[in-house]
Amino acid sequence: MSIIFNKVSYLYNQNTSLEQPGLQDVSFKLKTGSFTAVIGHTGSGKSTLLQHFNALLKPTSGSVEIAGFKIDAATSNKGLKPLRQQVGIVFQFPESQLFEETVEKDIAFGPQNFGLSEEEAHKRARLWLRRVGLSQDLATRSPFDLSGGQMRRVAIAGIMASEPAVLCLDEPAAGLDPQGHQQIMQLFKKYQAAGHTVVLITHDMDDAARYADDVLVMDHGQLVKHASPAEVFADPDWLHRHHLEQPATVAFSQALARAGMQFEHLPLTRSELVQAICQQVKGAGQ
Amino acid sequence: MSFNLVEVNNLTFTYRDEKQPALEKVSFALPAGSWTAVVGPNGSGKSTLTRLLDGLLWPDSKHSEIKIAGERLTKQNVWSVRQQIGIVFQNPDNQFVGATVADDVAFGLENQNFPPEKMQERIEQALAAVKMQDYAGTEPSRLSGGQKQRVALAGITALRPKLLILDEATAMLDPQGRRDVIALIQQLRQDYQLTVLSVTHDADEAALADQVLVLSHGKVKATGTPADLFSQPDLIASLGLKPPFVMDLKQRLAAKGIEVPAEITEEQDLVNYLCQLSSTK
Repeated sequence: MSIIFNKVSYLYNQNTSLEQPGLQDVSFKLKTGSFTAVIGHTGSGKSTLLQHFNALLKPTSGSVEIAGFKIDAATSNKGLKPLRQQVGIVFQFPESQLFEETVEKDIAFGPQNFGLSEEEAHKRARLWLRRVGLSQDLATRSPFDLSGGQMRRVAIAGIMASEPAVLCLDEPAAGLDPQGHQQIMQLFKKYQAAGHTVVLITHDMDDAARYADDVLVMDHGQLVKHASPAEVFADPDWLHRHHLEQPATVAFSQALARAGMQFEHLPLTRSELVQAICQQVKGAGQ
Repeated sequence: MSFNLVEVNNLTFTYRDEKQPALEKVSFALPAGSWTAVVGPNGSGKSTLTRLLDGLLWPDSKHSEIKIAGERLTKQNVWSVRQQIGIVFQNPDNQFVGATVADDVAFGLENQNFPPEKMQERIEQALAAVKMQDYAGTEPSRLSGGQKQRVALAGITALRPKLLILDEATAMLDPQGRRDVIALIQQLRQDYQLTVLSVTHDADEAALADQVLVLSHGKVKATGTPADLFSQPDLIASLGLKPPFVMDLKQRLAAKGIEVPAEITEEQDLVNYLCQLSSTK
């Protein structure tokens, strides 16, 4: 069950003097079980795109096929609950949406809303509290007494506890410390490995290179490239034209290549890079 | 640069219903005109510290002292002391009140009873300083993240604070936006003799500071120049900072038996060194 965007355009404030294109003629297909990074500079249409994944926005023209639904301009708002159960979205600053008395109740709200019994939902909540790396002691605390990083994890657990088939994330790690950043990204990678589809909006090119197997590049509301990370990040000039940068690893690898080192494949992650260097510098590490 | 704009002595603060203090016996000084980065993992007390400095929270006991421009912060003078402090937060959407960019900058000035006849000039000047003069009539919600942070900075510099606190102010920006905003802050700092306190996880941002204050579990774990701290890889890892790329790579190579000399700290030097190594073997 892949995700298909078919010539999707979206106009903000349609038929008013403030009309403004949000998306223009965007078409792509994402495989089930893939991990897709959506990159593009601020204002390129990434968040607008994401809101089309569960019909928070509906295309002005074109259609979206996802989780057995087909959404177009005529789709009614009624009956979309099963879609939102299947497609979970973690927005920027999700901690601003916490509202319950306790952490456990907040996480359990989603699963319960989607039909789990109270007991079952709370069991899920405790499970996901642990999976996002928080101590069980926090379950009975008010979410508003937690640190910013802890609140972020609670909010993410609240979406993931419904175990959606498609998990969409808008800058989920921004503002987390590096350790928390890595833990939360590993959690999403594990979620993908368990058979779910993950879509990640990120400014962090290192994350896109390290975790994604597919990349969508947005600019001015248009999809300007859909390719593997290796292909997207190979051309620094093209990236600069779209106000993007190479991941540090890729830029460094290319600098090594220009200075005479030869690579079979362009290393995308730091561990690949180190391994490639070790192969070149023979005798090292032995 | 001879006096301290901010002096913090023995600062301890405990949240209601908590056993452990969020900050414990924290002391430091910010020399006037200096840039200090506060680093530390999530939950180490960084945001609590900024709230205490602005009088949004109050320390546990009178043995704690916060002095701003020589004046001890009390509940009586908090309103006047607060006028000397400007804060830019991580999420720009939480800090707009005006219907237009110019209104938003005006809001702070009106709040401080700024003379209306001089207001227009001050707003224009503040927007020009952040290169947003062409957007004076724009609705803030139509701006990009980087533009919003520029407007937030304009709103604050218009008030001529002495202390500028940046609480993860660049965390949501793309790399270009982040560089632009940091360059702008450097410029404003010179133009208005600002003292800057920036809370950050970004090693490149912390590297710009004159001094780095490391918080861990509510205590000051270390202070020093960025160069001092960044030369200690074990400390970096525990700081809640993402190490600069070259340092991280050197550590990973060392773990595989390729020791890179300490004096190599720049990317190009590391490229040259590694290529030499591979061609001579």
